[in-house]
Amino acid sequence: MSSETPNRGERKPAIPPPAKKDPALNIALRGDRLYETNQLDKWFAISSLLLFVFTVWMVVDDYNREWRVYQRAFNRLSVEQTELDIQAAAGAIDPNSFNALDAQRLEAGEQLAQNSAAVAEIGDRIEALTDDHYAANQRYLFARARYDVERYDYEEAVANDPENAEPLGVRADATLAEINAYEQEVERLTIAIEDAETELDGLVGRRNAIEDELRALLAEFDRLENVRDTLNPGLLVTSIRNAPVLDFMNPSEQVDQVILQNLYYDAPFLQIPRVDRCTTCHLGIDQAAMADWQQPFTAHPRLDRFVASDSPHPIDSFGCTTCHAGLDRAVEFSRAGHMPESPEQQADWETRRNWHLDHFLETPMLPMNRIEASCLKCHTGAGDVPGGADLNLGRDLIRTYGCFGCHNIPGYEDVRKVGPDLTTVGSKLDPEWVKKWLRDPKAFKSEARMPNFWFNSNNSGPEYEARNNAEITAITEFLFSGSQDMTLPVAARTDGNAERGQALVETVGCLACHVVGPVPEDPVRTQHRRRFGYNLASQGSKTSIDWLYNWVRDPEAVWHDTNMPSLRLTDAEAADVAAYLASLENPEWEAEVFPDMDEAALDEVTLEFLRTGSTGIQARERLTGMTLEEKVMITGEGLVARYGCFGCHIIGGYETAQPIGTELTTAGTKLLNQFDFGFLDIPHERTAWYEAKLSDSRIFDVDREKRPEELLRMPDFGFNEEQVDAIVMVLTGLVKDEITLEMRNNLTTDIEAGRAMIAQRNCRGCHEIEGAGGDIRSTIADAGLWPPLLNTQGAKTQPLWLHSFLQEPGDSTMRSWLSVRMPTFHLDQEESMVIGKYFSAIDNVPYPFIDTSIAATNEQLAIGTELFEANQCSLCHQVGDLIPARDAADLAPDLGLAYERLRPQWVLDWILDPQSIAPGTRMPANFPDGVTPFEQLDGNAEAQIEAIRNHLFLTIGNGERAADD
Amino acid sequence: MDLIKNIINYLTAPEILITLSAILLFVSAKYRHVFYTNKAAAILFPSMFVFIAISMFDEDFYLIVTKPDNVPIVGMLFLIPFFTWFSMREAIRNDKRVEEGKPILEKDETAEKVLSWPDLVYTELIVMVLLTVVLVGWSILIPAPLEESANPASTPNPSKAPWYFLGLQEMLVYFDPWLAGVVFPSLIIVGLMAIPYIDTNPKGNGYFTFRERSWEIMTFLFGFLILWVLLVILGTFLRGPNWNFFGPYEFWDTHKLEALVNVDLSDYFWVRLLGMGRPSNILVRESVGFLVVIGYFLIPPILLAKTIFKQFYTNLGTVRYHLMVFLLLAMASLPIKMVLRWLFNLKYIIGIPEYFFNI
Repeated sequence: MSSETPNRGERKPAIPPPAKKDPALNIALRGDRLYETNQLDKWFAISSLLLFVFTVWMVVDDYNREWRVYQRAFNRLSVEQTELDIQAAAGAIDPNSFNALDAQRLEAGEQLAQNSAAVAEIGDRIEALTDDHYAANQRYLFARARYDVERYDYEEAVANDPENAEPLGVRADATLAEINAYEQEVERLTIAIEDAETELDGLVGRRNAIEDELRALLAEFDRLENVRDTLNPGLLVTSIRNAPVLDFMNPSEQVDQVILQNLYYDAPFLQIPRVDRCTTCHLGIDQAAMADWQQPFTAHPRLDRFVASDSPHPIDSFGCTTCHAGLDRAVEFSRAGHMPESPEQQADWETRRNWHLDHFLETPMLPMNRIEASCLKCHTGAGDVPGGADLNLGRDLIRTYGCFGCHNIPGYEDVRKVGPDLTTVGSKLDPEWVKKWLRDPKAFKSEARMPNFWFNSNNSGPEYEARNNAEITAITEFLFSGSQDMTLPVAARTDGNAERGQALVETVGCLACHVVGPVPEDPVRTQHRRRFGYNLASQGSKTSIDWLYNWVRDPEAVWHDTNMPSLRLTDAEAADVAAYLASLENPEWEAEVFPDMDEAALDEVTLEFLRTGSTGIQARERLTGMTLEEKVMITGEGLVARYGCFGCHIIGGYETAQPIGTELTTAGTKLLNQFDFGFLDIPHERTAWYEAKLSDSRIFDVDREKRPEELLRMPDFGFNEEQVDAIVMVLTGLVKDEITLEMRNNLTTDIEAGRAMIAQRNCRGCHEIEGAGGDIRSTIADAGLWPPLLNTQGAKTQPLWLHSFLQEPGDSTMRSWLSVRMPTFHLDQEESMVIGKYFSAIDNVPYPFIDTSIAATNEQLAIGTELFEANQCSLCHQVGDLIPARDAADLAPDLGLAYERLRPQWVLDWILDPQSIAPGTRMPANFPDGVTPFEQLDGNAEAQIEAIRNHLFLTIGNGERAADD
Repeated sequence: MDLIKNIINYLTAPEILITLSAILLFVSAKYRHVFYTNKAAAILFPSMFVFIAISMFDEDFYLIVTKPDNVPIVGMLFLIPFFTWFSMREAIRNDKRVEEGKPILEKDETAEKVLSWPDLVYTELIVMVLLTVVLVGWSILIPAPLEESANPASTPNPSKAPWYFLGLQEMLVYFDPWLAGVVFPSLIIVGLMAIPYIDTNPKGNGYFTFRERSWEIMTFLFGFLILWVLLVILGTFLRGPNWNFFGPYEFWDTHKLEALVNVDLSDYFWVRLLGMGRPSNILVRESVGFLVVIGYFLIPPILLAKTIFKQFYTNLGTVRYHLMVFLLLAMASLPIKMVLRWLFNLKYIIGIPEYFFNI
């Protein structure tokens, strides 16, 4: 190749081509060279070329990464949008004023041209003065620096070497005098420059003013043009900024990330800060204007709640993956863990985006239809999460169906067991009914909440018939044998009228928590809160009228721990309701007879329990020596433990038993390999497992060979698809991630505790609170007769009034014509306060001590009375004992109570604009848009409203009048 | 089709795969004139390729083979047989020439020297460039994935060592960790270092030959191909969740079970042979095991020295002979333990879990 090669040139004969087949035979021909240089050069050229091509390919590949393509597209779209905006801004400029200004500018320019010599002279003068000023200022500054040094030297000498200090002092004083001289010079020049500028302004001032005006007119246009030029600085600049290697400095395409200081990817012994790179592609996520741009540029749909810096969850502190999950550092579609919410979307992604499931990602993103689950990370209280309809439904279901009885679920630690107390079961029910109930609760009433333990997918069929019946009989006998006697508080009245009773049930408010038969569909509002209490169907076939009478009359007297409040029924009313409930019979059910127990089947079950702690031979020996009753008792007791009946019911002897179900505290991050998918052909994903489990709790026993006692035990609740989805939502949200306290401190405990109480007492069955609830309204046709909306209750009512009202609702009647009643919940002082604090905290108003005194003059009160009349308030409002003669639905609350019930400020807001506080209210806007039709008080609407309020509080009511100043 | 898949799944079970491979190795050495020819290669390598290509239609096979980590091992499936075949072919040719009284190939080739520049350095440069091209292309086509932050509480199942250590990991199936993880790796390294001092046979230096070094070559091939490379391949493609064996066409089901019914030698001796309980004294209980292990390392050297290794003994001298036989026995202990496990479910020869001492 090079000249050093000794055998190049003429000294050797031409080298023959290398041997191909058998090199050994060609050695003589080949000389001292194995390969021809030309051939090697050729191969070197080829390989170098390949390396070059591959290097280019590498760069091209890198420059076509998904996120770069998106950033380019976003830039292009932004430029296009800005061009459109520029056109719009240009169109918005008034051509007349522009032309006029332009003409003025030209004219002023011409005038100026005549004085150009003078302008030029002043300009020169200012320039010369400015130069002088700079020089003088420099001299001044340097002298001062010198003086500081000399002064220090002098001070130091005075302290340490007083004899020699004198000359230093003299030197410093001299410099000080110098400084003063320089300073005067600088000031003189400053004034001279100012004078010259004023002179110049007299000549060019008009033109400058016109130009300023012109600039103001074109401000938006110019701004947009700047934006466009920043977005699109031209191909050359962009190419250089993004060129390979050079792009380390200031590229226009770059990975954008939010580093979260307080939120971690939480692994044992590790806390890895989240680094969310989502905004690398989701470039318009915080731009409200980009709401309808194509993905990935679409703005977040709820900027009021998330992402925006003024929302409660700003992106800078919460990031994206905190809620959405997924791989925070990834910038590729599939790697980031995007999850489709439907098979259609999955198919679409697979074709368009080459989507595939990443098996190694333990926490892929939540599909959009499950995103509410993430709220649970921080909103861990038992109350509702605003805006999380499905999540709240799931939490309500967990509460009403009592999942926490067997499973540990955070947020339900203090909730009472959902089933009735069985320690007195014998006083309420008969064994035959219990056996039939256990066999199939849904046969008694389709809405039964009690789940099926027997005759499910893994224990049905002829081989289980006898065994199931034996188990049911044993449990029933066991429960009744331990039952204590209970005497009902009062003797029942049996003179009730079922028809009147039905009318009462349908009007007084029972339907907020109860349904009779299937829950009716309502397209407008959800009805699930009406499932809070037991379904009332078939009630007559269950309990005696005595028991029913006592129960509806005062539930708490029968069972202290009940959730059911008292509706303050009179004895006659209670008798009517009891008669109605007793008439709800289920003849088919009553006709059915539970089969006798097969002792052989019982023996089999008994043996399973006897074998624990002893050998099979010992157990069989014991069994033969036992009476039937002994067998039944030991089996019943064992079965109660095996099925965990005590999770929902109070059963004697099981007060301290541990729940039997799997811990669900971290169900949403439970590792995939801890799930047993059995032989079920479903996707190996957490949610798919939960869905299957909740749809059929025994489904994973399919194709398994198990002994009866090994079968899965979770009972079947008969959830429908919507319910399954809602519960899965909650489970998905129960993740392990620790959220640091400082990230949760926006949630006050007052709000959390209140929300829990609201949910626990089912307040939303009647009331709309925080925009959700009021299910009972489906049963009341006339909106005027609905229970009140409590959306702004904190700002509206006085804390002390609310407190006493909650204590004794019967004492205070705002709308006596309503048939639906606020029940008495028997709340203790603390519970009332929880609710009061909650309402105040939600509306951010003080609690519990507020100033309700009002300052008013007598004239103002007189005007208030006038205006009260003029606005015809008492046409609808009850005032004291005066109830207007109108259709009940059009009546309005008693204003006689206003002074002790309402917050003074709220009344002003309410009168000014009722619709903004309660959309749809029948209260008319008497001062539309803050304009008054009345002349009093100088026609000032706000003063007039205040006068009316003062009339309500001081004249009608007995409010406190503030002392005059 | 399913029948064929099932047969292959069955044949790839460790005990059968390793046994068959060992038999194949020795049979191919015996009939090397048939196995290591151009014709055999023309059949072998294309059929391997076709086999893998057709198997790709199976979802489970496809998943395992195309896993980015496993792609290089697929390359190894071809490379190692190729070089084995190539060297054996050359060796056979030389052996034939020697038989015919001709000089060996390398003698002809090395009769005249060539210059290191350009013949060596230049070609090395070209190969270097081409290798860079391959690596760049590979990294573009199969990029390194960005995965979730490692979670110590969630280790992957199966947890696999890097591919070059999978042989060691496979040994853990048969030996206690202190042996498979500490003693054997050390012995492998020390043993390889000792080879130049033990193997003083000058034959085969700088040229291919089989007949002149058949013992050394077969020992090496058995140790390298069967006890290392094959275990790497087994560990890569056939070991799934819980280190259970999965055939190449089998779904990696986490819940697949394998019966764990292995017992120690002491159990065999005391319970099954003598029909009595195991002695409570550990040393008495494991005395049989100790005897077997000590006997294994003491008796064969003496016996072999008098019989088939007589020649070695005289050539090498006492020290080197014993060193060689010790290393040989240590190497042989792996297949011996494997066979005992497969045939008798033997767990440990000496099993003292009380002091974590198991052999």
